[in-house]
Amino acid sequence: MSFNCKIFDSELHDILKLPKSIELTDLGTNSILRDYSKFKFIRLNDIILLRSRLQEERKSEGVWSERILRFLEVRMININESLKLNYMSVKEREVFKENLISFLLELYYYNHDIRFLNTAIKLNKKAKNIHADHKLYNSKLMEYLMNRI
Amino acid sequence: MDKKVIIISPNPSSLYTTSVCELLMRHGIQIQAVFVKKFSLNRFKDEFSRDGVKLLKKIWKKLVLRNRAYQDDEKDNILNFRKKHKISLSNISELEKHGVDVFSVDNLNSQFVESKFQSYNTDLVVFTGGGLIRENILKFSGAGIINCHMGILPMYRGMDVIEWAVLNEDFDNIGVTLHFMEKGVDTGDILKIRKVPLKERDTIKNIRTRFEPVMVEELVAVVFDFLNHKIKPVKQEIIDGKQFFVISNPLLEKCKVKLANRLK
Repeated sequence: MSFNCKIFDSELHDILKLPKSIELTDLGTNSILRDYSKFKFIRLNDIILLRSRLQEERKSEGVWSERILRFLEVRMININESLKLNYMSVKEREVFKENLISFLLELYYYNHDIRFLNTAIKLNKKAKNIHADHKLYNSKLMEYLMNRI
Repeated sequence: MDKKVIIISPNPSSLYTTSVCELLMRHGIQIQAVFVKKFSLNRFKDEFSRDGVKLLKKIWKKLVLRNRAYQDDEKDNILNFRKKHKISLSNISELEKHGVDVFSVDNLNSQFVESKFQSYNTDLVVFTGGGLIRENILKFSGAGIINCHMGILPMYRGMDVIEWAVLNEDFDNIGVTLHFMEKGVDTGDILKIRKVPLKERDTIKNIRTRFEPVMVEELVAVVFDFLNHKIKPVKQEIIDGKQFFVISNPLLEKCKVKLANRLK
């Protein structure tokens, strides 16, 4: 599992004036997003793949985002227990959560649906933010988005 | 009028429920039974996981402050509405002397409630709060379960929809919607929409206070009109709206600023 902070949008990288340690990544177009089934089956790679494809609006990503939003809102209070099913270590759980927060923030950045920002704010309160680059990226993006409202 | 209804209530002394019950009876509508959701630790846990700290404020207002919660600037509140309409019913249990069955239940979707609903063979069910209602109850609810939602449907489904409309600067889409309940959240057929215009110095609290008498008035009117075939439900499409959830504090603060600045 990679703990590096990945971002996929050069414009966002420039807007937020991110340091070089946060590298732009391109996953290419070969990865296929599987059908959404349940939150407990989602892995970090799925979230990263979703994030990489947010600039292009696709129906399947829309289904994933709505279902994830709903799960997080309904189960937010037990989110740490839910993540323990898949990720045994704290570091793994936190990197998953950090990517989930980035995913929600980026969704709001692209689709202007404020519900995703709302959920990101709530999830951020549950995160330990132990990875410095990801913490920096999420906090800068959140601040930028809050100022835009 | 030979029409019978069942009422679902969030607590026995709800000002909203008791006002609705008394006005329905004055309209000649027979209340067969009231199902009141009991206050229990499990209920508190469920609702706390959904509403968070907001639940504590709600309990404080509804169960501790009660009438004292209305001592602010907003005169169009439910207490004044009750005074104006001389509504005296203060607890659902008082209905028992009028021959109404009152049940206090832990779970509104239990087999007990289901069998009772089945035996009443009611014309309609009126929902005044108490959480999600499952299909086993919906199917024995006569024409259906009517709810008054504190937002404009289909755009604003779910929680805190006044706040969300304000945050979207959608000030013309603030009001209440009377609709049938179904499996999805606020996705059932619409009976009536009533928009409520904002006042100059409105706050979120004021708006909510002002909505309470409007909800009583509209719920009673719509139940009466529906039972008399004066209104027909209109289907709403799932894609025409979104489900909103409890608003976070930073966004609530933004919302308050937008409300205060809207006339500047």
